Amino acid sequence: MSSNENPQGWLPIALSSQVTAQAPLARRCCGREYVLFRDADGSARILEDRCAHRKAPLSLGRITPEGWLECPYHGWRYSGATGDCMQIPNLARNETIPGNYCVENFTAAERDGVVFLWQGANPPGSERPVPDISLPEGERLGEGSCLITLPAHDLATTLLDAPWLVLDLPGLHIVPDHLQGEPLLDERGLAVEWALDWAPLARRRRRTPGDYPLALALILDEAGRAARVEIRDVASYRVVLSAGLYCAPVTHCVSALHWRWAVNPPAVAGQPAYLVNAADRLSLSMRSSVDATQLVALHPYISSVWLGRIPAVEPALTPSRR
Amino acid sequence: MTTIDFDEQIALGVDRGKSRHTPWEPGRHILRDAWFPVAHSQSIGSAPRRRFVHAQPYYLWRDGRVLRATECHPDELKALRGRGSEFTGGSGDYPVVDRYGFAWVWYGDPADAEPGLIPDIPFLSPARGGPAYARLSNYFHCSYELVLENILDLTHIDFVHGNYGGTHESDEDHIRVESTSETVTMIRTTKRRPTSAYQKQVLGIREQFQDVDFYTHVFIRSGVCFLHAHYSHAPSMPLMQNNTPESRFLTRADATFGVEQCDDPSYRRNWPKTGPMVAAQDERMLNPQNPRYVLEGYKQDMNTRFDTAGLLFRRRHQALVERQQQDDFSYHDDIVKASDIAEVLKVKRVG
Repeated sequence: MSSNENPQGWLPIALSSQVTAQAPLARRCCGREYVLFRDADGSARILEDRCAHRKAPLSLGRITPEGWLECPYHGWRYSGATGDCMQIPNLARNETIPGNYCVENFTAAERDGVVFLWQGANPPGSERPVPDISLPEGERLGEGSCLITLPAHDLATTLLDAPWLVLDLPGLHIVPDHLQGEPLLDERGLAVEWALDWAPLARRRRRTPGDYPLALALILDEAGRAARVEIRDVASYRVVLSAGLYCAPVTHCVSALHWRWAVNPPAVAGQPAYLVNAADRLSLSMRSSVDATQLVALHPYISSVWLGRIPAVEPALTPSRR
Repeated sequence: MTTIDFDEQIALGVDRGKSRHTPWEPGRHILRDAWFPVAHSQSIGSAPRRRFVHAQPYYLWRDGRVLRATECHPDELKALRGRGSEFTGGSGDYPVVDRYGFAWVWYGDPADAEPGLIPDIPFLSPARGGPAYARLSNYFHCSYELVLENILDLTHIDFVHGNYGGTHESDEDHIRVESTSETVTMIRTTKRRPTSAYQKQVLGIREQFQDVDFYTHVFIRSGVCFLHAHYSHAPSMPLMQNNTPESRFLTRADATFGVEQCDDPSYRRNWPKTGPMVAAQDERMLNPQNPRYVLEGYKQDMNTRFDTAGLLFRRRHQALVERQQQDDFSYHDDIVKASDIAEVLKVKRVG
């Protein structure tokens, strides 16, 4: 897990759908400003968001028919692939542009509907793959982004210790403190499971752990950048909601969140109307703020395992993967 | 006075002279001993108005008919008497002059406050302010150096104000620069430049292309600038704008148009109304530019020949900084020998 302000590796910086060939997109990540756009062949490109000329934000500019990014201030045009300045308006035809006129360009990757920025001293290698959270086909699909006033490191620990503080699951209720078993560490990251109930029922009943109709499984990768969420109908053991959550530092106290989800609702035919309604509302989004009172009151059991402060339980026998 | 034809002398992208070695750090250095036109005279009454020059407060008010600029609110003046700063020689009263419709205050040693150092503004009357419709007040959230650079490179008009000034596809586009130790003048000559949407739709100009000459004249210490353009088929009138550095983060832009230079009464009244929109277009660039110069480490800018006036401004500014660091706050006599700015701008003098 990376807890510093300048993490290395692939950083989720935008949803693929937000990066277009129509208008550049401004993004701040780890305190730096970037501009994202698609060039003429549809590739997602990431440049520093400041013109080499007078430091104006390129994100306020436009994408030219050639697929170059044009500065809004004096019209300098840049290639997304190299960062090179390709054209300067007003110049006569016999005037050329020096080769060192360029802005910094950054390695971008796209996977599972998310654009990643490579941050590191060396080019990306296979030892740090782009996070893989492919979603299944779903009856309903959704995605979103927001900022949250939590440092990225604290966001990751909060997601592990108290997912109800950052996840918004309409119609569902994550049962606080009803952790199912122990967190498990494997090559995918740290996996943890929480009891989940239908919200209309949760207010009226109190079940013992293990007796809830739904379960929320969350696997957070080692870097704390990506998490897979699965909600299962316990009786049928069918996944009813799959989601990918992505997080990157924006500033020292603000993080960017991106999420994508797919829902295959449980069979609720013949069930009471409130349950049918709750199943119809199944979706996922993330909150832009956390309840500070709850945050300071929680027990950081899971994050302590993730951070290595306490050891993970070593099963006596090799467990089957949940 | 130095006159340079940059088309011949400045190769593309060459940032020559001291600016290559001296980081350009807008907001880093303060230039003193200058007159700053901090407010429209007509806006000052018995109730004090506060202004800042490089964070130094100026309270402007009228004591009967006498214009005063004081370090503190008039109610606190008695308590300050004799304990004021060096800017007022301890008196609490700054040197102040009412001219060209502005209250000009002195920022520096009051012993050196020579009214003859107030710029010559040929298109404004020294004795009276312009009509209310010709006066504007705007702010830019940046240091004044960035505003002056914006004004000295008018190729930004083509992109930032294209709807008002026309776009960049002209047949010829040349820059000529004149300067003294205290001023920089930029003259841009364009041939067959597209007529702007504003000129076509609002002014009814039918010609698709025009020859246009743009003029910018800036005073390095104070930020005062003159802007003018001559269109072959459209009316225009000169503008004086103060660009007062209130802080590293805020520049006040009070402006007055020289309406006497324009024979078209409709244009005279309507063009100043575009001021807030034009300022907002500039603010959209200047506001995000400023932290990148003021807060972040130095990173050299890339330039073209169109930046020549801006680069010369940087060098002249740096020269003044270095002189003032050596306690030399004087004005060199090259300003006396400079071209008559009325002739440069091609405007008639207003009495």
